[in-house]
Amino acid sequence: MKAFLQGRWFGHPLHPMIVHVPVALWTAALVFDLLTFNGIGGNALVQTAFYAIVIGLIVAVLAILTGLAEYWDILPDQPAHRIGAYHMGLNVVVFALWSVSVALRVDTFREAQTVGVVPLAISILASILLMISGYLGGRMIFDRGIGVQRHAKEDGRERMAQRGVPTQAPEGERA
Amino acid sequence: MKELLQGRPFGHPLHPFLIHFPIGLFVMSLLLDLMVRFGTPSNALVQGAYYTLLGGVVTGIIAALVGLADFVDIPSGTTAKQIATGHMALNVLMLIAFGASLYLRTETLGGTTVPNLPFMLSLAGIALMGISGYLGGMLVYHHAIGVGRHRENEEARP
Repeated sequence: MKAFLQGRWFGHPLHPMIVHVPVALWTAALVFDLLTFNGIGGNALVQTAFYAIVIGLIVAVLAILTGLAEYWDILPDQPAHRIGAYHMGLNVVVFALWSVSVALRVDTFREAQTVGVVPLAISILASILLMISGYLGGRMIFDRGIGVQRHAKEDGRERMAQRGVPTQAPEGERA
Repeated sequence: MKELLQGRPFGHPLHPFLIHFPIGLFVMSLLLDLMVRFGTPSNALVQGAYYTLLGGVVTGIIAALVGLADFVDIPSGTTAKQIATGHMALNVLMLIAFGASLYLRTETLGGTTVPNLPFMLSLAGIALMGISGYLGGMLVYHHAIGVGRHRENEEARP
């Protein structure tokens, strides 16, 4: 199950692929909010922002499950473990903020011409936290090598280590 | 300039960060197309699909330019270079498909559904993006392109 969620069958970690969708859609929702708040786009963009947040939340559930499977294999003594913990903590807050935002929008989005002040503020805050969290996620890959070479057909870990390129051991090396 | 486009000052390549936006927006645009074609016809969602597609094309062009900075540093004759070349070619085709889809929508932007041709073009774009994205993932996770790069000095670069 863990191996499945990590993307072993796919030959490529699943979490970084799935997160594209919520990251982009929530950021897009902020852009649509800023537009409607300034009187641009009207109800079409109010609805678009709403669906962007909802689709983002649905896909984020998959991102959480696959993310937990990734986190499980990062040993507590690895530097990436702490980055991972912050990444996870921030994402829980981000997920909660967008959920609240949806609850605030659900009654009005079919008619409203503009976004409310509170949902807009939530969009701004959640997007900032998401960018910080996303940066931490990227650092885990590109600075710490999490997921790199883990499912690779050719084992290039030694060669890469000589070049100072961080990698992650294949599954099974944790215990 | 190349160093900046590669994201070295941030300790994180820029291209894999930027592509979140076109990927997510193209996916959403297609979902909105599906909603108006198979669910309820709605002008709001037709417009939503149009503007998410527009956002995807714009951010996609930016991501493509930044991706070139990563491409030029992959040594020729390697498997990684072959994969990167395929990744780039597919992305160019993908942007053409989505760009054409966007263009064909302008006349029906006031309607409540999306015509067949732009819808098919978006479907083709998503298929190309799926293959291309997989190749991009191979570059990072199998060939470690961009991984640990910000820590390398000029001489040690592969």
